[in-house]
Amino acid sequence: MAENDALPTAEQLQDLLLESPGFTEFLLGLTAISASLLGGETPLLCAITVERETGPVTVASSTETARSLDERQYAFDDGPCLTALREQRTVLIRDLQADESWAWYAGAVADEGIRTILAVPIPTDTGSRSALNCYSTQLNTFGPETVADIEEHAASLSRILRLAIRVHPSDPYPEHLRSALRSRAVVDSAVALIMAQNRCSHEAAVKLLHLASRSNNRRLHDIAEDILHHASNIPVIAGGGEK
Amino acid sequence: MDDGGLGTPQPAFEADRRKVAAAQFQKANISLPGLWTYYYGIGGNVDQLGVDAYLHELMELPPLQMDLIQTAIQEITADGP
Repeated sequence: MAENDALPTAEQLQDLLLESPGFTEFLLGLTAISASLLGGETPLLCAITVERETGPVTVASSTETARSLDERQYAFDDGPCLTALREQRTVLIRDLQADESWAWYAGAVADEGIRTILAVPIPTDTGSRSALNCYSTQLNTFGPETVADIEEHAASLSRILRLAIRVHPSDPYPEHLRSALRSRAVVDSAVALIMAQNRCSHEAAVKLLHLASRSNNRRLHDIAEDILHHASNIPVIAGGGEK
Repeated sequence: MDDGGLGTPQPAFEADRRKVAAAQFQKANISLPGLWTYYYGIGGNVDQLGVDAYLHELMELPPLQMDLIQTAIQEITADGP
């Protein structure tokens, strides 16, 4: 701890896990910690990738640039970070322009001014793999000591990352889909109430709900919620007996 | 239950509504998955491919589904997705 001040404290990491509503937010906070601890005179761009057997890959990046650099690797399904992640070994590209084996990648990310890249695996349990990626615009950022420090830093994230993976099971549904599912559940329940009240068809009930939303100039979902909470305001078929 | 049918025969009127909906969709600058997700959330029953075809004026939909698509577009544009 004394010789490597790039290590986060356990409290810092636990607080992050406790305060993050979801896995993506947690990972985002983790990259911010990495970037702030590892960045020296020249700022480092950091990104953490987590790949799980079940569920999608999660990528979190300290900056937009780091994000786009990572995403380009996925477009090619190859790159230093994916190599570190899949082979669980450190990948260092000292000079991106001079390194022949990564020439295609250098071409793909040339516009970002990145000169050197270090990707180190973060050990996790079986069933998931993770890597920390550091990008720098300065050559010679990653000397042997820095590499060792960053490897140690990555290892120090292992425990909290494994915990986070357990606490936040992979979520196949992004937030907007979940909110649509919640909304749909409310609408369906309201429709069922309308059907029971009016003894009408499903379609007629949806029509009534839609009509109520239009004539009150309110969102359909809000009307449906009202119906569920105050079962008295159920729309009634006017005149009776159309359907 | 819904009939899930592919439209009722009212050609001239339906075609107009489709045009209006397609124009609103274009103007609103929202993604098709975004629209479909919202539309599903308020009770829509046609799949995304059907909504896409409808907005490209390739397919007819039952009146209620057209209403729901229109409402979805309106509600999304009223205060952002």
